[in-house]
Amino acid sequence: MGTVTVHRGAKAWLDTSGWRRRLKEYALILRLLMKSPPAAVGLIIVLIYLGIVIYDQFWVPNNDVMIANFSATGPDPPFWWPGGKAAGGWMGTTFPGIDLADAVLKAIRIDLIYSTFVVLTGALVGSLIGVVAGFRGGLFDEALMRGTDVTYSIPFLVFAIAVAFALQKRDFLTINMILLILWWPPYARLVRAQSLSVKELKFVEAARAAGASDARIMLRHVLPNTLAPVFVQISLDLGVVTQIFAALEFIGFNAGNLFLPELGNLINIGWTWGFESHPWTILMPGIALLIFTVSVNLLGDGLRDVLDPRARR
Amino acid sequence: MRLILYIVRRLLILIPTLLGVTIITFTLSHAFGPNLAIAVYCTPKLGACDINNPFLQPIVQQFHLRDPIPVQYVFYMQGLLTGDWGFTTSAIKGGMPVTQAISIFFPQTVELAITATVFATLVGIPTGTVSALRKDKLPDHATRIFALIGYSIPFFWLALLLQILAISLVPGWEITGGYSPSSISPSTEPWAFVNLGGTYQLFSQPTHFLVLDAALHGSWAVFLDALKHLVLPTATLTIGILGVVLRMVRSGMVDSMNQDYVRTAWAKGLPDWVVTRTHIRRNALLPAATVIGLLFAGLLGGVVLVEDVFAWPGIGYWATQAVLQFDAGGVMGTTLIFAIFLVLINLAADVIYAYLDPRISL
Repeated sequence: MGTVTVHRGAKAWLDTSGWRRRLKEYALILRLLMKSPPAAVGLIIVLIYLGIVIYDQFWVPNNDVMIANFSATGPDPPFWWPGGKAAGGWMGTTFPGIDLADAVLKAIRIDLIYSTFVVLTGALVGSLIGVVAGFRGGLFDEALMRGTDVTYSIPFLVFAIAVAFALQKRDFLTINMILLILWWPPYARLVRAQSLSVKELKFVEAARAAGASDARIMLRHVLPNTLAPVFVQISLDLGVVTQIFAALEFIGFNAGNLFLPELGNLINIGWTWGFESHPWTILMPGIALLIFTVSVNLLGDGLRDVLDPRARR
Repeated sequence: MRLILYIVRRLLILIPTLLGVTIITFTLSHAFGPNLAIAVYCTPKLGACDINNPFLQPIVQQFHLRDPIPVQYVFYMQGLLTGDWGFTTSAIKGGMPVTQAISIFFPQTVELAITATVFATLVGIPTGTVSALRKDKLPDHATRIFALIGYSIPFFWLALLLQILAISLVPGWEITGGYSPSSISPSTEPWAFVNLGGTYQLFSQPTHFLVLDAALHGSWAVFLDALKHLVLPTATLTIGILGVVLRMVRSGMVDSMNQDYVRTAWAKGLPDWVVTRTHIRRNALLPAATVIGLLFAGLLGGVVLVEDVFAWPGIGYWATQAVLQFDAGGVMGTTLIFAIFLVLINLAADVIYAYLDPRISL
């Protein structure tokens, strides 16, 4: 019996046909995605941002701190700005003598890495909880639904503020922990709703007839068939979480590291030091943030069209 | 009759939700040590917010702060239900009870939220209609791009951007910040202020909305000034939520345009505007009604940031100040009031939906 299991397991891993089929599916999704211009643009911009992250991660020294120059006279506009000087560089400089081009690139890395981490963790945890709730039903399901109702009834930003307060900490890592803890409910609800219908389908019955355990049915048969909306939600959420990061940093959650390269922090610096006379200090980080959120939204909408043809408009 | 039953049922479901919310605020304020718990209630007059402070022993007694957590929760709930929500030190110099602070700051937040929602609805429904009717034409593309940017743009950055635009485009526009217009003072407009032990806080009577009250009292200078202060925050929130409205209306319209009864209506020769208005749009607006609930959810998060940028004395500004100044009563009070407001708005949206669509209330 034991050898059989080992054998089957080994065979399942060696058997590449399943993987190849899945890869083919993904290639098809990608092809469909590239057919719609907005989604293609979104995908390309997201890939460019990803390239920036990788470049920063491996080739930029001191990629977690902004380099200040306290002897600088004041913020210089970018060289293409009316009245700009070459000293300003591509994006100008902000207070105190921070080169924005450098800072924004570093900020993109930090924002993207952390928001991706938060969203993926939330999706993973939420999906697992959701599939169990949907499949098993009963008390766990009911408790989960009421629990998520409660988390939905507090605006997320306010919720994060309250939790940060209770922990008596206002630094970047605390924000991360809070988002990690609070970000799973939407995914749990999505997957639960999907698995309620998927579990009634014939192949689940077939798997059960073949003697599959509950856990196996949930993980191998139900969960993969509920993931389409999860992927859409992940891509949409990347923009939301990045915005929440920036917003929390902006309202003063950066105690502990004022030179943290983070887009919200950069906007806050520009705001505190008089952005009316130096608009580029808030424009540049804001545009970097806006382009990212717009492109993940484009990508998410495109994905929704591809993965759920009924929603195509 | 069925609608009433539905409302009653929804109200009953509300109870566990609100209980859950109080459990969250209780846990956040009481589970991290007694000093945080007592900080919700202690006033600066009584000295340091330490559980061993002899002056604070009446509070320790009243809320049983040395007892087990479940017992504390009972007395916390008793406090909430009897109107003792704690004491906030960040709201105004010298501090005040949380409930009083809510009564002063809440109208300002509601004022922003209502004006933004009204504008977004007024602009969003016709524009979304046009967008759907001229699908894949220029107006549609323009609307969709605007909607995309609208729901992608960070609220706080949009607020700053609009300030820059206003300064550079409108001659004489300056960043005044805040809600209190320069033309108003307690001596000339006593109706607009409440006297809190020597400090005057803007709290206009009788409707608490400064624009309305100024008009009611006939102070037209104040009216215009208040209106001017309202422009940028409202514009920020409106642009931010307009994207959602546009999308909802447009997709609802496109959905119902493909229905058989619309084809029938056209086939029997009804004029275009009748088909558009009574056959297509009426059905498309149903989902838009629920979106109002969602809008408020998004709005209340955004309101925090917008109030912060414009130093607008609402709940959101107070919440931020409370966090930055470690004011436990303020944080718990604002969280609770945001949650209650949001839950009630969602309930209202569901009831409206059930009223509009007879198929729902089952």
